[in-house]
Parts: sequence; C-alpha cells; structure tokens
Amino acid sequence: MLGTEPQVIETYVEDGRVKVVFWPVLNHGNPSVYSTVAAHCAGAQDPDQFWQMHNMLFEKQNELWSATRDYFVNMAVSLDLDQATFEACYDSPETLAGVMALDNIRRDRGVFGQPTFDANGLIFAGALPFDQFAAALDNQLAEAAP
Amino acid sequence: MPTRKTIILNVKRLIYLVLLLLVPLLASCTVQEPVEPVEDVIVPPVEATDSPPSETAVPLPTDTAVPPIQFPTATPTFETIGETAQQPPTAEPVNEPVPTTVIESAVEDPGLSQVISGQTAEGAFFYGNPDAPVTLFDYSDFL
Repeated sequence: MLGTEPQVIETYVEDGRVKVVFWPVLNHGNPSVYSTVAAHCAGAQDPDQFWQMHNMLFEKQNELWSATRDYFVNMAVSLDLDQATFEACYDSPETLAGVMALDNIRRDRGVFGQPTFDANGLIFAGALPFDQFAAALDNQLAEAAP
Repeated sequence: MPTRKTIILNVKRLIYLVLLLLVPLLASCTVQEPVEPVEDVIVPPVEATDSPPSETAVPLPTDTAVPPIQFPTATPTFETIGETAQQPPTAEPVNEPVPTTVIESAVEDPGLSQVISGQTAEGAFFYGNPDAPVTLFDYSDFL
C-alpha cells in the first residue's frame, strides 16, 4: 500500500507515535514472491533500502507482472546497492524461505486479502482514505496512552 | 745472648700481640662481612629478574591492572544502549510481542524519539520508533 502511507508516516511515524511494519501478502504467485524477495534483499544490505525498494516497487507496480531477475537487479543497482551481494541474496534459498515464512504467518493470523491493516489489534481492510486511518490511529493512541 | 727460653717466650708474646691485633681486625671483618653478603643478595635478584622472575613480575601487575580498566568501560555501554532503547517508552504493555527489533541503526541514534528502519524477529521490515505505542501492520502485496 503506497496511497496514504506517506501521509501516515509523516503524521504518525516520524514523531515516534506509530511504527509501521510491512508484512508481505503473496497472493499473486511468483511476481509477488520475487518482488518481495528483491525488497528483502535490499533491506538485507540496509534496512532503509528496504523502504526505498518498497516505494520503487509500488511505483512500478504494473511492470512487476513480467519482471525478471535482471529487472530487480537493475533496480538494486539504481539504488546504489552492491550488485553481487544483492544477486547472492536474491538467489539464496534462505531468502525465499524467509519470505514464504512471513506469508505463512499472515495466513495463520487470518489475513487473506490485501491490503489489510492491524493497528494494535484494530483490523481494517482495504485502501482507506487518510481520514479513516487517522481516526483509527488516534483511537489506538488514546487507548495506549498511560 | 738470649736463652732459648726467652726466645720462645718472646715469640709467644709476639704471637699474643699479633692475636690481640688480629682479633679486633677479625671482629671488624665479621661485621663487614654481613654487609657484603647483603649486597651480594641484592645483586643476584636484580640479575635474576632480567630473565626468569620477570615472568612472574610482569603478569601480576598487568593482570590486576587490565580488568578494572576494561570492565567498567565495556559493561555500561552495552547496558545503556539496550536499556535506553527499550525501556523509556514502555511499549511492552501495549500489546506487541511481535516486533522485536534487531537493528544497528538503533545504536547509532540514542535520541529520545528514535525513528529507524529495522526488522522484526520474524524478518518483516518496519519503520518508526521501535517502542512506539501503536504498531501498524501493513499486510500488502507489491502487486
């Protein structure tokens, strides 16, 4: 989800009140799997780079259906990631297993559609407008306040 | 002409006199002798410390000197990093056992509101204050 995410980050994350966790939902076969593998390999070099790759993947969402290994490697290079390290990570069975494990965990948590959001147990599905996000987060922040 | 008897007597006297002179000399010598051995005793240890005793002398001071220097500097840095990063915001009671952070960035930014990128214990990536009161899970697909 990229739509309202920048606003949520600017309003609630940057001041330390909310932490965003991106959890992969691999509902579209290999394109889903290897897009996520690419993002995780960027994050393996630097967690900040996961979010750079995350943004780039959403921006180029339409190209991901036919994306090849070289496509993701070129993306990594454009982010100034180390190519050899990225390729080794991308080809690693461990990386694939890690991504698949996250997908299995979300199934165990009862999450099947995407996007789905969980704010301290308050679950809402679909791409909501920022106002509804804000209302939900404000509510959860009030509950979490000591 | 001295008789043999007087000669013997004179020799005895001479021997007696010599003895009288020698006794104090010997006595003084015996007083000085202990002084010389003391010097001798000091010298050998000095020579000896150059080779074998130096092993026992050097390690002891270094062994006792090094630990006090290293322990205090090492322990506090680890404790302060771990505790300042996790305790203040009291995020534990809120309800997230999931995102346990393992991040190098957290060590670099010891500020109050640490907004960092990192990974949960399961391997998902997060962005924000690890101790934020609210965690927003974004279950999404890039497609």
